[in-house]
Amino acid sequence: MALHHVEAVMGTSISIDIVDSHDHAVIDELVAWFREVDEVFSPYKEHSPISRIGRGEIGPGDPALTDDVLEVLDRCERLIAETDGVFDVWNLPSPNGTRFDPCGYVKGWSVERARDLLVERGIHDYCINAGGDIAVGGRNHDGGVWRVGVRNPDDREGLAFVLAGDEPLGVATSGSYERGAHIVDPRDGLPVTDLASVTVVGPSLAEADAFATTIYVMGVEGLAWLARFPEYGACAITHADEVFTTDRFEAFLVH
Amino acid sequence: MSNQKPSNQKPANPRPPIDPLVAKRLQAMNARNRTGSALPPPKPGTARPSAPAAAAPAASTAAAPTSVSAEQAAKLEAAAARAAAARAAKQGGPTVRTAANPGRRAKPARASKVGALALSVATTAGLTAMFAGQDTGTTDSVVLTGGTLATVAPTATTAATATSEAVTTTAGDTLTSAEPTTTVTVAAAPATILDGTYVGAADSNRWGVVQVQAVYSGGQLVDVQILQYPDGDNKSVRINQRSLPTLISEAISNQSADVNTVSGATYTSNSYKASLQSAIDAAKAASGIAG
Repeated sequence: MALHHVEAVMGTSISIDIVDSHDHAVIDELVAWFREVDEVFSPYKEHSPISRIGRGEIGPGDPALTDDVLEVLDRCERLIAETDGVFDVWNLPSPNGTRFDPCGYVKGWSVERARDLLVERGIHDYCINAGGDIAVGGRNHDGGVWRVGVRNPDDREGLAFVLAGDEPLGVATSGSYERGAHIVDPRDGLPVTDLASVTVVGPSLAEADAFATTIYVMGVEGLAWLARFPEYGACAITHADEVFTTDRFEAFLVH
Repeated sequence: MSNQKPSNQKPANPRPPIDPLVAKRLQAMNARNRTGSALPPPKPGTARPSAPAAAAPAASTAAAPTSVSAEQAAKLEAAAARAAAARAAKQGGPTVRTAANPGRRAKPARASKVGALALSVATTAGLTAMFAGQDTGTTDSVVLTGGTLATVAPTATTAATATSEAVTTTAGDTLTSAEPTTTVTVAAAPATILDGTYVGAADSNRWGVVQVQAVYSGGQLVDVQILQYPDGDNKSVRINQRSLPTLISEAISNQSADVNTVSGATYTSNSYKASLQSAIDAAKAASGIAG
């Protein structure tokens, strides 16, 4: 009684594990959801609603402004203020040629919504890994809590540490080691590579994903900034192999 | 999960022409595009004029020497230079930031946050004082991290038990240790900070007013408390520091290679195929584990 599926979608691979169900229909639902997100939110697609919004091609009653789009825009708007412009989806080099690229929020958000769907279907033991950003809940196949390894930024085959918790978790890691310097500071448009990686853990992957990017841009000082979100913990690893963690993060660290 | 399809009917009460939020952001974005500027406001902590000891954290409960701040700044500068050198050696890149040019740093040179923190402490108290104290309390550890311990890493990751124990012992959690003296084995220099609680000056940054206090014991920074933070709440934040090899050795000792999934920076579809996550999937399949 378990399900496993890997789907290439949204420019990445999404791995779905469900322990407490064998009803494949729920996998189909999740895949349909992620494909819908890809169609709506991809800045790589010229005619996606997000690309159209970025180009200003929206008029009265435009269907591009769905409830989902508005939900994402609303949260991203508040993140601009909460991060003092460090996380600003309206000021990034977008693949569609505009400066509007909400991808940094949408991936984590879409997985968080997928988690909601699972819970609505009565599923509580699951793991969704969207290209390294992870939502877990309940128990793994062995009946234990999910153990989330976080990659060593120096060694793609190795782990830096392992996280686990009793409650449903989101774990997001930002870094430059996989795709080079692709994280840009919206405040000056320059790529940021100061830290090797930043990992954020907390109840929502949508938030954790945005916070990881934010702290990566802020630098180690971002760990103090995260104090305003006490449910979340963070770890920053420097290129000199120093590791900085918040106390909240330590609570999730498997020793 | 909204699967709402746009209705073909004209809604009785249509949405506003464009969501005000979208309109506002589009306007701002287009204005930036017209001026061709991404408008870079000065970043906090970036390229501050160097003014060591200009904002010395006040010693509240201990009779700290007045030279502490300058001393901190000097030590941090040295630590920053070492960290930058360590990174340069590691990546084969140039050491952009040098001790001779401490006051400014080009963006690509911000790799060592220790360097950035050192700059911050030289000029401001408040939030940066927290990290300044942090660095000061662990300066000796930083030195070792860039040198001895880093070279131990490959051994530690192959789970050599004796090595792992050694690393853990020598570089154990210096900041959270209740007995800071247990870390003396790694200290190459004598403790220079007197025990006590040091209150930083309230500092205004772009997020508001920040004030912290640092607690030293046995010459080590053992705690940092935030007295004021922009949200207005008194929140306690403590930043722990250790070295990556130490962290890895802890993970190895816990056999944490036995993980269910792996978080990392964004995979591309192609690299995913070679990723650790897929290896775990394969291992599961080979082991006959469902899922």
